[in-house]
Amino acid sequence: MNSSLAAEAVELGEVLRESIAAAGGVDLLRRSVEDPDVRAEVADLVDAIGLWDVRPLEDPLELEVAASASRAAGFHALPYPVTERLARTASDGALALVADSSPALVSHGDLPLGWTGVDLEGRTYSLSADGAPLGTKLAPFAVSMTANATGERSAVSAALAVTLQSWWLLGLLEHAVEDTVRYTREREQFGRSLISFQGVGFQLADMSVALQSLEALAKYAVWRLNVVREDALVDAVALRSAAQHSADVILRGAHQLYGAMGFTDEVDVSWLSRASQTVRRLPEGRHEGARRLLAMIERVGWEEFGRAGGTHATLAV
Amino acid sequence: MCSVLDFREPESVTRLRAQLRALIAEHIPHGFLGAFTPNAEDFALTEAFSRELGRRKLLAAAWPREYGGAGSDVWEQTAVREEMWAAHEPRGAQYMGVNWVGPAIMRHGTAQQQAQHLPAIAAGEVVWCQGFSEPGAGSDLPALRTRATKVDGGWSITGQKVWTSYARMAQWCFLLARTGPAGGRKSGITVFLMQMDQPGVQVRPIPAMLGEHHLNEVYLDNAWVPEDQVLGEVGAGWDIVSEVLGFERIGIARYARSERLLREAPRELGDRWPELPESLRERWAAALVRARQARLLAYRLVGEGAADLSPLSAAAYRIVVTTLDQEAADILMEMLGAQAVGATDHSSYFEREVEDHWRYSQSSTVASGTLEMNKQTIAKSLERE
Repeated sequence: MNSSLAAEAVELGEVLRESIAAAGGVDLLRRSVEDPDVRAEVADLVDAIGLWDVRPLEDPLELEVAASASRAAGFHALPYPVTERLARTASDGALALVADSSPALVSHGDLPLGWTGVDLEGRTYSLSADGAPLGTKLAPFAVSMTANATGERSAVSAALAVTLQSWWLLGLLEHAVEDTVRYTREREQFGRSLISFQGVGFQLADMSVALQSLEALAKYAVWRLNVVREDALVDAVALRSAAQHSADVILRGAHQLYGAMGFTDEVDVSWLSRASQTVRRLPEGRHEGARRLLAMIERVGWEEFGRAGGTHATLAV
Repeated sequence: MCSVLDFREPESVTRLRAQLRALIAEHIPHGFLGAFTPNAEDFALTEAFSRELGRRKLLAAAWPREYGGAGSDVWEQTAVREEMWAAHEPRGAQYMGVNWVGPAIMRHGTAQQQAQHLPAIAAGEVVWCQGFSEPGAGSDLPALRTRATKVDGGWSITGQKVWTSYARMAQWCFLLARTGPAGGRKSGITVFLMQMDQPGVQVRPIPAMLGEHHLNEVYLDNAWVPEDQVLGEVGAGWDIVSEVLGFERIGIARYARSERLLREAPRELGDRWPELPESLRERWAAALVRARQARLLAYRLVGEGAADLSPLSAAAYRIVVTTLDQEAADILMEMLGAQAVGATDHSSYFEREVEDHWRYSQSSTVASGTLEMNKQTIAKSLERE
């Protein structure tokens, strides 16, 4: 039993997180929204780490490295498809999560990365961009893409894409909690720090619990993907559902406790909140996700904790 | 070789689970809902079962062999907690004695106290209760007022304890009383190992929705504790209690019963399952996810070295696991409807289990540290960070 990521994976995550911070952190997102070409600068930064040599499905350690890197990128809401490139099926390319309908909205779909798509059941799609990024506040880099089903399935790709994206969201939520704790410690009203008010402290406690619960499940999903491959799709979908729940608790709390300040472009939380939206709602939001998770558990069951195939009965419905 | 994530259960643990399940199947009849029912035979069953576990060194498995334990590792201990709780705790009232009264005596007791108490606990021959809460001291435990006065050869103790589980069946009480100045706080508290069967101790059961024996009042009127049954130094009680409750990393493994009941629901409901509202089944699926998270948070605590244990992660686990208990209970009650709310002795075992689970789960966010105190722990920890 080991519930810690390998030291190498943690280390690479720290290196990436620090490199992004040194290049401006969330400022990279601010600048990319102003000028989408800044994403080329971001691409160079990630290239320099050597991330694209990682093959997450070939080795347990490499999957942990990919998860840790996704978390680091998410921490700064990095405006670049890091998880999509890590989840790619070909040696080059990027894998987007899409719904089983066309067109699909895909963040950064305008970047020439050899995009393919996979839906949450593992069906794969060819993708071609129909236009330029939307440039809106919630989906600045989302691009409409025509999706054509290939007729093939890769549940393991879907599980990988969903798992890494959830790690990205985990990083983002971690940043939101850290910033909100710091802000409520510094900000004073009625002569006291906000955090010293019990109502505020309790909301922060809920946020911390949501973060810790998500982190624990994210590690479990990585392990399952390593040991049961395509059968880990149900774990990935459960993780995504948990991530959406935690995101609701944490980002609503962050907005509330930051007050008006939290809506401004000056504050990182405002950007984290916006950047989370495409990940939380594309290709489907919480309610669709809950329905999918139920259908999947009813169809294939969900193995008891700590089991990895073998003779142990799954949950029979 | 680097060490990657691994949630596979060690083989020794899997074997132990199988052994425990077989023992339960052999000794505990189908339909068992715990020791604390109106049927006195249920408690008698748990006494016999505890002695059986004691003979096999499985009751206090975590303890060193010299005290009657088996020196088992933390994962084996965790499996024992889970298997027992999932099966309605056939150890009955042994929880406190085994999980923290014994360990406290191991760390702070005299050789004579250890020799007297530890083998008896490990053998399942004795029941302990915990004399902590008082009418004016709940979450604010240091406000306790029960007073111990030094007399010739020992202590005379007067006051009132409340919510004391198992008090009617306990032979011994792990009692906190004030030995320092009146109005003092943590510094003036002492731990007494008090015999319950004496004229100065009177127990009154408090009828409640949880079931029999869970809640009692204990009146102490010049109760007697000899000198040699003071645990640790006089006045050091608060430190001892803070420390021993820290051994309680995961406490009751509530997730084990919640998860088992949730997992059994589709089979138990059979043809009725697909007819349930989809929204309710979605809540059920979400609760399965919460159960997995609760277990993962428990295992994180189990796996952490003592030095890395943070109050923040312990409190987060407790919040998740106690609210899971109530969420699971609510979902299952909704699913069974009239069959559960109207469950009687003639109902199916599953229906009675759900009814019992709902009643007992209402106390999960109150007992041994309220939800609010756990949130407060996290908030204070974030404030200081």
